[in-house]
Amino acid sequence: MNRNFSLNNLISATFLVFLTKALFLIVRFLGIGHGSTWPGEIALTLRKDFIRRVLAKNPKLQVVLVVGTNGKTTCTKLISHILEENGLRTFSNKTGANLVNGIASALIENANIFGRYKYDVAVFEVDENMLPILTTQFAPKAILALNLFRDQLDRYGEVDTIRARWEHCFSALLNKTTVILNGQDPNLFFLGKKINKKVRYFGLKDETIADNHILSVEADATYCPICLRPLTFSKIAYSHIGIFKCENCGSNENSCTDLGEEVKSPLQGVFNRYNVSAVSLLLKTVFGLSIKNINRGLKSFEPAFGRQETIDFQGRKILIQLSKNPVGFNQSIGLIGKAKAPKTKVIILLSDATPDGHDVSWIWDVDFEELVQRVEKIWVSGHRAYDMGIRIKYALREISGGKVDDRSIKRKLSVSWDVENILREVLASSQPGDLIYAFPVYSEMLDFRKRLIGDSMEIKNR
Amino acid sequence: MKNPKITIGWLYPDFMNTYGDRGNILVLKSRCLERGILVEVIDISLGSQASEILRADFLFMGGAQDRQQEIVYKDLHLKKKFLQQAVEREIPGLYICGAYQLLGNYYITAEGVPIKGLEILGLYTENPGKKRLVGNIVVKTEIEELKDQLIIGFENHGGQTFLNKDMRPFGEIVRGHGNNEIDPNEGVYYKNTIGTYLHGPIFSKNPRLADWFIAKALKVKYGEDVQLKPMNDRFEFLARQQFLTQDHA
Repeated sequence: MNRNFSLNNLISATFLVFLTKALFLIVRFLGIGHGSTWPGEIALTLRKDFIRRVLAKNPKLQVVLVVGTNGKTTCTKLISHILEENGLRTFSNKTGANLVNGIASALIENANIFGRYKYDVAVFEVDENMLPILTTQFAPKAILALNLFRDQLDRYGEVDTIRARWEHCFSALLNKTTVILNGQDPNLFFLGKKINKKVRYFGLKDETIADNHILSVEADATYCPICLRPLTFSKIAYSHIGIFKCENCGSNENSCTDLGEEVKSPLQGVFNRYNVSAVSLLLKTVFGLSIKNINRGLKSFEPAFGRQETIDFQGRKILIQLSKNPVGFNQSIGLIGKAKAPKTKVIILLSDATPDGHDVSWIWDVDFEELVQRVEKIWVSGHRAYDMGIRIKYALREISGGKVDDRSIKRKLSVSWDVENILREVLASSQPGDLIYAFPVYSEMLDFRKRLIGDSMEIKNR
Repeated sequence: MKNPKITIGWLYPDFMNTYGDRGNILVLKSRCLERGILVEVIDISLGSQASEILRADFLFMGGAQDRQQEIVYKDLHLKKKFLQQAVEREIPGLYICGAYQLLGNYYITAEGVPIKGLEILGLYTENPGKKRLVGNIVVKTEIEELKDQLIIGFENHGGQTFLNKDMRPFGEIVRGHGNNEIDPNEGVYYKNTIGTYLHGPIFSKNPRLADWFIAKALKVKYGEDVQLKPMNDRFEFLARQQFLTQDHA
């Protein structure tokens, strides 16, 4: 179809909402597929500026965008949940449907047939590459940028590429948008200094960050973007997130508005403390919520799909933590405590399906040398199970000084293409009540979850 | 050979480590130790003595983002003489992506800016700035000892490299792009130096390539041919089989 043949001028956005919504309801009624991203896709095909039009008709609807390599889904859910607890009505895009068509679909699904909303706030998680496309369509109330790590380099390109794209996008924002950045991610801190906009920084207080000065191998923002000298980190929370400065050109003394002390994270891990700090700052500065009210919302928060979600499986508690890039995976490993005689069991699921990225090289940037010391046994499955098997085998060899026999590798590591096999083995070697960690990539998380509980509502359209 | 030892010179690990490159070091180290070969890894980076390069029995340098590459390019120009000597003395070396490009005469960026290379090998790189060459890749290598085995991996590069007529490629493309979109060449193979676009942990699924480098390093250092004891590479075999039989987009 020639897209230039402009239906654009003929079809109003309101009519499109009506049309696609009707289609959506029919499809759902007939049970031929969950609500997915195709209503948005149709609307965007017929009217490229569909999102702009719909939002222009609803000036009272406030839109918050959440971007970042890790934590988007959790923060989107946190913001919505706390706002709801405080009497505001919100809606979001479905987790994972974070491309433009996913956002258009959410706008269709939640509108009434006249293209109007009974909601106050829309909170959307947005794919790294999609942010500039959206901000040319409308002026969000706030943009929250969580962090920027290496992730799916075959799809996103290098961290520097995304940073440059965001810088361009933030610089072009209207003044009514508040930008909230991670002041302890050098990528975002220096970006904030460049854009001359209303910027607020979140972070953790120095004294609440554990005493660590060692940068992990997957850290990317380790030098000053102004003078290209290495940055000095006085504290590293994880990856390249921490307290830093450039000794050479004196850039940075970061001033973060940390709320980490006043609010309590309902989720484990230092990365979630950053998520909570980010969300609190946004709710306080953009929506004027008090700390007390934020805390109240946090208390009743339930984790999102596959993000520290615990599922009961034949009496075992399986904690699923999505682990899709080096930084995220290292944080997952951090959830497991150190023990002298570890009893922890872990399932790892690796795939190279489209939402996971076709390149599995990233697993070599994960600190599996640390993981193998914290666990009793690791089971591996997924499309690229043996790539992961090789990785863990070498981790076992590395920590043993290169000398480890096949039998001890076998005792600690089991690999199979077949997840059922893996689950059978896990059941046979565990007791009811045992906690088992599962670290899957995205596509495997959906399948695995489905296997455990029988259904999966989440969609991914990439 | 008594108490053999290999010194691995890892060039700019703090800058040139974007795609899991350190996997190669882990694999090589472990495959040495398993055979009773001692290993020392020395980091050679900003502030290192240039002569450190000549202490190494095997040199390795990975790829990086442009910004990091810029810092490294500047520093390596100061150490050029030593690296050139190492290459000419047949010190085995593996240079991936940005490191491979750097060995050539020049690199023309997407903006059309020429960057002077180290001029150690007769090749040059241009970045047409359109699309990156990304995807799984399969190569039939020119290395005599490995002719019966395909080399597999992943490529992701904007630059397109062309070899001078007298340079030999690392191999010929079976699937994927390799050096450029025009000829079937992948990488470069000169003395015991290999430059390639197969990024990240190339040794992980090509253990025989790792062993080839170990054998070469020992040969150059001790002047003896060695027969390395086979290792249990069952996972590698299965991963390779899956990679080579599945249909990739």
